[in-house]
Amino acid sequence: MNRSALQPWTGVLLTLPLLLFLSGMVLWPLAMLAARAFTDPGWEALREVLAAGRYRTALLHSLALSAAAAVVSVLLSLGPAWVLARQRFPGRDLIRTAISLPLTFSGVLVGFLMVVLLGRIGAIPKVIGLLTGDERFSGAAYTFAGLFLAYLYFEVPRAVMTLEAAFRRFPRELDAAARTLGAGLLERLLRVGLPLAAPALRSTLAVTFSASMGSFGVALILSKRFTVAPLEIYTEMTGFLNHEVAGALCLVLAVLTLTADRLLTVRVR
Amino acid sequence: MKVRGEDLSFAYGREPVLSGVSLELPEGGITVVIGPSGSGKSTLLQLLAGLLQPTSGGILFDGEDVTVIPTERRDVGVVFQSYALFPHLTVRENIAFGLRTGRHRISLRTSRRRPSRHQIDCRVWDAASLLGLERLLDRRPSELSGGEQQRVALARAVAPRPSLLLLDEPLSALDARLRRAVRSELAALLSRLGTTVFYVTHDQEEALLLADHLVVLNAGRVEQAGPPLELYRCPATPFVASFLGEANLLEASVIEGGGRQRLETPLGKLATCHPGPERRGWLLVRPEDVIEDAFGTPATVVDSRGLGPYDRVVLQLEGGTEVLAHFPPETAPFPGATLRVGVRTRRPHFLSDGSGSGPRGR
Amino acid sequence: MRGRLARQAGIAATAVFALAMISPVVLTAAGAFSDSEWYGQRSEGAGVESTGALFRYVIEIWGRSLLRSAQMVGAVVPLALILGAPAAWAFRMRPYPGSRLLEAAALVPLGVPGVALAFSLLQTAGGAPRFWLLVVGHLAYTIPLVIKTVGNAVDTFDPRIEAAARSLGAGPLQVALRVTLPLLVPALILSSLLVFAVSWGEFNVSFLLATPLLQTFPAALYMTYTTNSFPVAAAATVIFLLPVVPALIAIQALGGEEFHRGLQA
Repeated sequence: MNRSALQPWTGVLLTLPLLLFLSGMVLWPLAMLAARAFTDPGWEALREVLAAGRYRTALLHSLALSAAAAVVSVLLSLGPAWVLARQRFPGRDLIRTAISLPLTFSGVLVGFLMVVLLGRIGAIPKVIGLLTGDERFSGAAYTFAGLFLAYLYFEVPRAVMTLEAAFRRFPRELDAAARTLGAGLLERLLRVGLPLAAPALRSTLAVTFSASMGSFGVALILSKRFTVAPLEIYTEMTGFLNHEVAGALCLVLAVLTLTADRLLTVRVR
Repeated sequence: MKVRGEDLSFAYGREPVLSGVSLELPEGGITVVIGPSGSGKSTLLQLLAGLLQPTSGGILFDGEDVTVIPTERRDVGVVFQSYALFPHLTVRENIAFGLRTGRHRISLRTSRRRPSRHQIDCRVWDAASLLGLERLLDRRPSELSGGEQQRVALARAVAPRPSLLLLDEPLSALDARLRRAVRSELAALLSRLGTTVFYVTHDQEEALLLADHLVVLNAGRVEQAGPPLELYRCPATPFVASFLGEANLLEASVIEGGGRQRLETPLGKLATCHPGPERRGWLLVRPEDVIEDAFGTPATVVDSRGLGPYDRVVLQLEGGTEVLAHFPPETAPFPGATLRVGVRTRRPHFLSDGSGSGPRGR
Repeated sequence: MRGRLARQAGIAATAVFALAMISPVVLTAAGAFSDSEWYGQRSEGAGVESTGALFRYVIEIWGRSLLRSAQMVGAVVPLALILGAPAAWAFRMRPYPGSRLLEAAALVPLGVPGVALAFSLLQTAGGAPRFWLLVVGHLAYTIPLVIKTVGNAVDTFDPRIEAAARSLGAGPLQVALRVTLPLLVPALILSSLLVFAVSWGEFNVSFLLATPLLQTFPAALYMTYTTNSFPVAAAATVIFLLPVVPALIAIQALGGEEFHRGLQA
């Protein structure tokens, strides 16, 4: 047999285990999730989830919190990412490692760290207390601001790393070309830098957004009243054993996340 | 614009790239800088463009010191080796880029305001038609061929009408055939523009064709500068001799006889027009100056290859020295043949031993 | 010079930024090693008075979870490589109709919240042994990392390198063993580290899928954060970080760019 005729089969053969795993363990369960939600009693639950009420509020909370944290974390990360990508200086790797450390942290750990900083006996209130005699921001970790800060904390490393990779691929000569054509710093940023960085910015938003949409550890630790969708799923599942509602919530959450991911990373000319 | 570089030095960290380079670009002329890779020619271009700051030395535009003026406020246009076209902009927008930033430019300062949309359109059209890009204006760089991209890069650089146009090996990304075709177009275009041009290349044919003024750079220093043919015929150093075109550098010693100086070389005794103090050195014989001579030195043909316009013949002289010769195809000898050769005596060029490094083998 | 000053200011700001990012981690670690009142009371009694006792206590109560996490990582790392690496190579070097679709499908979990995937797994395969269900959940989120890392490495190959080896007389197996595999070693090491770091820290899927006896160490962290005093929680956190920090440093040294993608908090 001809070897070139054999080649596509090596490809099929090598990817076969992955195909089996994905179809059996990922795609099939997800498809079933969708199928259940569109047949009774899941259909009923889906309508309940989408109607005004606790579930929809949780979904909207998740959406708003994730979107806001994604945007703010990208803005915060632009500077550090640029410095890490474009400057050489001693200690750069150390700084990068420090910034990337929270990448492996689960939401629970991030929530705990927020408590360490801004809990009822957190470090920041204590230090402020020592300095001014008046302990402020005590228990701020449990407020909406604390939750938001925690989301930023785990999103910023993702944003810095994604943007840094993009900035490193940035062709230096284009900046030089713009300078020789008379463009000042601001003009270069607006007319060359931003348009070229747009795809990277969008994919960074996608990465950070989907990371927060799925997060429930942070809310598990910090949230007292404010609920997010993954937390709601957890409660329905383990607390009330309401699998129909949990499934419907899962589906909506997954669809929202995947859609945002698609919209942000799809190539536009 | 008259451009001067005075004693320019540049180093990356501790590694010197340029050491004490002085040069003057004739106004409205094409200065070509040629040198092997790593000689610092691109660095020199970036210093003139303001993309790099010299570690010492100064740059004068029309007598005005611009050494610390940033690129965006220097009146220059640059064609980059990789073209550096903006991938997110169309050809039209690429060409217009420099016209929209134009407020810093001396050439546009006459009206004291940014040019109007109509003015920009006209300028873009002018530049595009100068380079035959009219049909490509709405394409993006990724949809263009290498030659087209090169023309867009040139159009973009010339559209703001800079007083100094800098080109960094603009043809090196093109294939050999296209390079040859574009080269002559470029020569015509650059002389039509009348701008002061600084052109970096490592291709000696390109250099000889384009240059009004040729600068040979080697290891961060100027080896020689002058009119291109002068450098070709009378190189100051063996490096220049062998870098510009093919060269035979034959050991030569000066002998006195009958009140005249003559050169003793493997190709016989030759009259010299450069009586210097040195007694030993090198005789430069271009391959096209080696001729059959009934009274010349006996030689054996080692190798002979027809190249079309001429045959490239390697000869071994009596005594063992190898010499490269270009013979007309119909008269070229076969390998193994013996013949007598001499030098077209019109222009024997003697390089004294003190002139730089030894000869580069060819 | 202005540019220089801006550069140094940028570097300084980035350093401050990094410092702010790790400050809570440092504070927490300090809490495990200091017996200062500042860090709060140890409510667990006399057993946790010294730092050594503190760590012994944590290992005593969460030892089982540590073991579970170690088992988990031990299963997930090789499986993710076996499922992901050959496929990543094949997607680029032996594509076939539909292979692009499969590659895209392999990246789907990155956009699916962990709770959703865990829940759907539980619904369709809830009867399966829980340990392996957990492994499946981890694999879904780690295989994409392997595919991306190995795929990036394959992208840098000279496409003719295998043809060159074959022109020198090497058979397909020899090409694989003597050319392809050695070239992929750095990417495989990097992938293993990435998979390890992700699997070690994974909480969302594990917490939902695990039975009480199967809880992994991140789940134990949750328990300890909600029930124990600060020094105990801090000591548990330090134990969690112990393997993560060297892994991260190695990942940085190997240039792991795809690390952050698809990590859910």
